[in-house]
Amino acid sequence: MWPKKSFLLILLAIVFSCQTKEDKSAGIGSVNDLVLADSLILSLDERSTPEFNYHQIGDFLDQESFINLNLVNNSLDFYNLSEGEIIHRIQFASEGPDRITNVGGFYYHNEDSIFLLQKMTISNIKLIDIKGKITNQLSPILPLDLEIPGLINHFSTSLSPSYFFQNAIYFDQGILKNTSAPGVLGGDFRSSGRFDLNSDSVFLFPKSGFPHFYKDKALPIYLSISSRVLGKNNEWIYSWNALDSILVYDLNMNDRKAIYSKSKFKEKDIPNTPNASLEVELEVVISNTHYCKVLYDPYRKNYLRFVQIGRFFNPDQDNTIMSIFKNDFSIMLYDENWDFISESFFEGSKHNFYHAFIGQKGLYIPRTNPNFEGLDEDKVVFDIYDLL
Amino acid sequence: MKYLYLLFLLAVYSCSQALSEKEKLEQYFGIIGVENPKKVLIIHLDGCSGCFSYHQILMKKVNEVGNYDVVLVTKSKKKARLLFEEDFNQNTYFDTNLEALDFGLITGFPTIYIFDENGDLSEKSEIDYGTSNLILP
Repeated sequence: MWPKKSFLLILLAIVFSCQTKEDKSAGIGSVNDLVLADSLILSLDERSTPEFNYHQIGDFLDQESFINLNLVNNSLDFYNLSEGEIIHRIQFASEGPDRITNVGGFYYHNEDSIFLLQKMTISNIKLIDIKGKITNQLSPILPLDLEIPGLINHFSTSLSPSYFFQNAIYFDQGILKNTSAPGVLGGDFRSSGRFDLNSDSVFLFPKSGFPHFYKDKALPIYLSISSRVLGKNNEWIYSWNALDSILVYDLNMNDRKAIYSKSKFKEKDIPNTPNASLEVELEVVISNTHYCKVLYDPYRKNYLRFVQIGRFFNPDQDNTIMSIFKNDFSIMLYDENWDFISESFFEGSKHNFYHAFIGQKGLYIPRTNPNFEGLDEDKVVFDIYDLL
Repeated sequence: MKYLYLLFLLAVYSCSQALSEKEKLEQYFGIIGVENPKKVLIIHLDGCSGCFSYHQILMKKVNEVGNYDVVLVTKSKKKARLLFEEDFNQNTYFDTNLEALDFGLITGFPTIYIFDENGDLSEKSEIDYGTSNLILP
């Protein structure tokens, strides 16, 4: 007979061998300073799904409206935020002379002026009215000194929306090189520009691009990107994913200031990973706390910075970047002068903060996380948090 | 005591789930219901909403070529129907539990698996939307 201690040892070995480290790391968290004040149920009709990566809040029919680019249905959908019901849809034609395809973003200025922006180009922008009628098409003269002649890799999502402002379209573009390759982040890539509708020309801001902190680093693309919004006094607010500080620029990106904004959940520096494999990149992104979306609250003059909290990387289960939705996250809240107010913790696998937005009532965060068991194809719950 | 140590090691590794790619594919297609796979295209629909239009072109291309089983990895059959409603056929399958991600069979790009007459994997390729022409094996 073996001694009891030996059986205990074997039993412990079996128990711990079957337990994932993800389980062991569960329990991180802190008090949530944001108060859940209300909720909204958004009704999705037979032509729409919970895909809200390209959205904007605007006034339509004198109602506060959630405007969503519905790429599943190739349409622009308008919901009122009072009832959560769809109140208008602009269906894009897929064929014929007025066809609208390759839409990769939009800017709703008013009912007469809605800009439909193309993927991977700043050309062929269509200006439509609320009935979907094309009223103009815009293709600017491009600068001659582009990295790839004739190509501006424009994108516009709710992370970094393009804006129509003072008769110009302000936009960001994505880098076309592998940011894991040494030297790329140290280049002179200009990430931001202005399409001036008066002169019909594009200007890329020389002082835009990767912050100095990135210069000698090689990072996965997911850590090399930024989120950017227009803030108070028409300042550009940049949240770079690997940079503790927030960068604030004037409108034409001449002057810059840095606001130190390190999350309390960031315990270690993000490692330098030149020429990393896909698996190493995934591990670095999933296991390291980093920054993501930034929002400006025009009603209460607040800023919000979303933080993806690192966790244990399980190579058997974390096979794609979609695993990032299992990570917990936090929201850092600042007042209009960038004085820190609070940082609130949220568990992963429920909300999708990429779909979050600011409304008159506060911060709306939908339960559209791909891992959320209650995800419904026909209705979405938005949790609404009070902001001071 | 030596045997006890061996038993301890056995217990530690008893729950290891390291499967070969062949075992993963067999298990996966068993779950999804693809029988005797020859050419299988797996498309993940929940990862990149900016890719929908490319997915639609790919589906049409696959149907033109024929002889493909297509697995749509998505929690939303509604989304799949809206995107491909004209292109569904008896060779279209759904992975609504996103098993392909857990098995590590796709990294994000649409992925094609081709099997030889013995049922062994002979080719694996990812579809690159960066190229102007979609060339299917």
